[in-house]
Amino acid sequence: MNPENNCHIPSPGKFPPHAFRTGEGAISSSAEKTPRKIAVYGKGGIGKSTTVSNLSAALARRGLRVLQIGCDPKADSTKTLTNGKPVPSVLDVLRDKKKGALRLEDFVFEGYHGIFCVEAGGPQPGIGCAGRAIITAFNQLEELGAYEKLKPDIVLFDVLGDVVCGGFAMPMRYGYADEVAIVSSGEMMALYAAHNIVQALESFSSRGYARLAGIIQNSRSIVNEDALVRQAAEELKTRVIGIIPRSGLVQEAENLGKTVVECFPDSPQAALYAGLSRFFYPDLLKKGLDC
Amino acid sequence: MSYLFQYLPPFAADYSGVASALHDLGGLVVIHDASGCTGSFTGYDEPRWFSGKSSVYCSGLREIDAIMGNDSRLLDNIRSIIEKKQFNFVAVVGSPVPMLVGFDFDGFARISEEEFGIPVFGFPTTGLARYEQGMSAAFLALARRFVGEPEEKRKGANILGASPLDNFDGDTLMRLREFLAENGLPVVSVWGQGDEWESMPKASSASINLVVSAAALPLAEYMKNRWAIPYVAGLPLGEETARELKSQIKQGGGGAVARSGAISETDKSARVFLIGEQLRMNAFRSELLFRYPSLDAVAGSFFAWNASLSSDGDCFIENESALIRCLEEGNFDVVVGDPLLRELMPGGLAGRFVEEPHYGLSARLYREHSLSRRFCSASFMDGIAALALGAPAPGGERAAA
Repeated sequence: MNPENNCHIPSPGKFPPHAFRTGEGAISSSAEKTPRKIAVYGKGGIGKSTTVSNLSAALARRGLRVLQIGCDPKADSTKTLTNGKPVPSVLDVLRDKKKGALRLEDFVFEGYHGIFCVEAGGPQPGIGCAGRAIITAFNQLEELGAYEKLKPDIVLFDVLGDVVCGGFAMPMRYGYADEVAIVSSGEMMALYAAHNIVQALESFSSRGYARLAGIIQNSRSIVNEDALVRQAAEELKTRVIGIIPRSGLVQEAENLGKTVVECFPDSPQAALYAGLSRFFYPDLLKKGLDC
Repeated sequence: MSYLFQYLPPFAADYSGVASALHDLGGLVVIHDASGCTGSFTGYDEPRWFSGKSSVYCSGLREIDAIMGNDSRLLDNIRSIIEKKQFNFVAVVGSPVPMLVGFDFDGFARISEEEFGIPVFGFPTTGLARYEQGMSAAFLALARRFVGEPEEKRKGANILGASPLDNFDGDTLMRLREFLAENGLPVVSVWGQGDEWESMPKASSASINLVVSAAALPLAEYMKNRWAIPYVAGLPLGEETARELKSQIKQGGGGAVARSGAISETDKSARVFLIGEQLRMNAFRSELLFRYPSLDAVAGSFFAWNASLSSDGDCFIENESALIRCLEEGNFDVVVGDPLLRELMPGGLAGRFVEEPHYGLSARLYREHSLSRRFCSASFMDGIAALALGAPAPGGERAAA
């Protein structure tokens, strides 16, 4: 299978004229609606950023305005949406610029199919406070009116690993994500991390935190994997939202700095992400109907 | 919730203890904070700030530097100060934010020492501990780093822990020096205030240490273990305490000695509760019971506490509610303590409360009280006895007998 030839080349740092909506004359029927907000958690290295970026790409191909926010000090969540080019994070910009001089354009970059890409960023490993970095980045996005100006239909938070401290719980707090999806394979440690994330959600349920949407199985081709993940989902009183099989196309696309959806849009793998995108944003909702 | 204080203000914190202990030693003290902690030290906790000379700086920690672990800004700021002025050392003192982000004080001290070529200390204080804990840490750090090996012939005494936060002022220091001179002990060094940087390295040449606050006990123990310097712990504020200490010094100082009551518990006519720095309250008790032997007195403190220095009934006061419980159950006739404690007195005791300000608790709210002149004076003790016993004997019970 050949990569799609006419891949969209994003220009980090430059907004096309249509990037900000004025509200009046907005094209989406959901202009007055608050965006759907999904936080994606899961064990480190399980494929969260790959899954979220492909999901963003699939949503964007359906004509939706997507905002993807990477919540990891490594700031590499949106890399495959920007042709593999790293973009400056909110914290990078905050460090280098005076607070009053900050503009949204300094850290919101348009990627594949107009996806708004933001990286919260954070300190180098071993110093500072990565959790507080997320809180600061979120506050900054709010102060600059990111949601009002960008008017996304859906926001995806790609959160580092486990809910290790208050900062990493920020995306699941009231006012941020409505739902949490957990990416897991059938491996024990990945399911263990899923268990911890569910525990965090349960312990904060009375505070109006996000609800659990379910588990996205990012398969590692281990024996009896589907059954293992299904059983874990039952134990956690949730469901398996989708099963993404292991595919060499993912690596092939990532080597080109792209998602599978961008590189191989007609592949079965891309179709799976399209299906997953309908779970989080059904067509009925897209047409402006409640669902 | 047991640590929620409803009546008392926050006590002087550990970073203030460190900065205070280093105040007179010609170092550059940098409190690593946004400004509030430095403001607490300079504006409230340190009585010498407005009259003495000391270089205490705020690092001006910003949120983004804390989050990103940007230590180079702090390094640059320190460099810009030490390029303009000479310092004996640099001390980087912690506050709550560096604690939360896990700032590496030792590592920072190591790299800055290499860069600046002068001794640099890192104190991982948090703002969650009390001033005397910071003070103890600073004393120990100084002793470990700067006190050299003793001269062959040992002579004189060190005064350990004479901090203004524990109400030591010029008059009290003078009295301590006089007391040591009367006992043939020239002062080698004073730890806490009022001494030169140059005296510190010589401290190991003293033949004995006089510990005047419980915060300095760890230092005394260190010097005892490291250089075999014995110590006595107490305050010669009056005739009786001077006699007790003199006797201990003659015996060569055996470390901490608790004082027991002169007569049995059942014979006591009234009970006094002394709240304040442990050694100061012990000294006051000695003088009070010497003058009024029929009184019973127990001591308590929110601050540094050493069990070996306490008598039966004495207590470390863990928090505000513990003090309230203690006052309700203690069957006291009179309470002596910082004026801010008056709020906590149960009904019957409110009129039997005697004010004795403690700087570490109420800072400069009551600084106009001339502590050393009043404390342990005959009239002060007679006033307490009058409240406890009714009409006191002129010159005390002992004189009357």
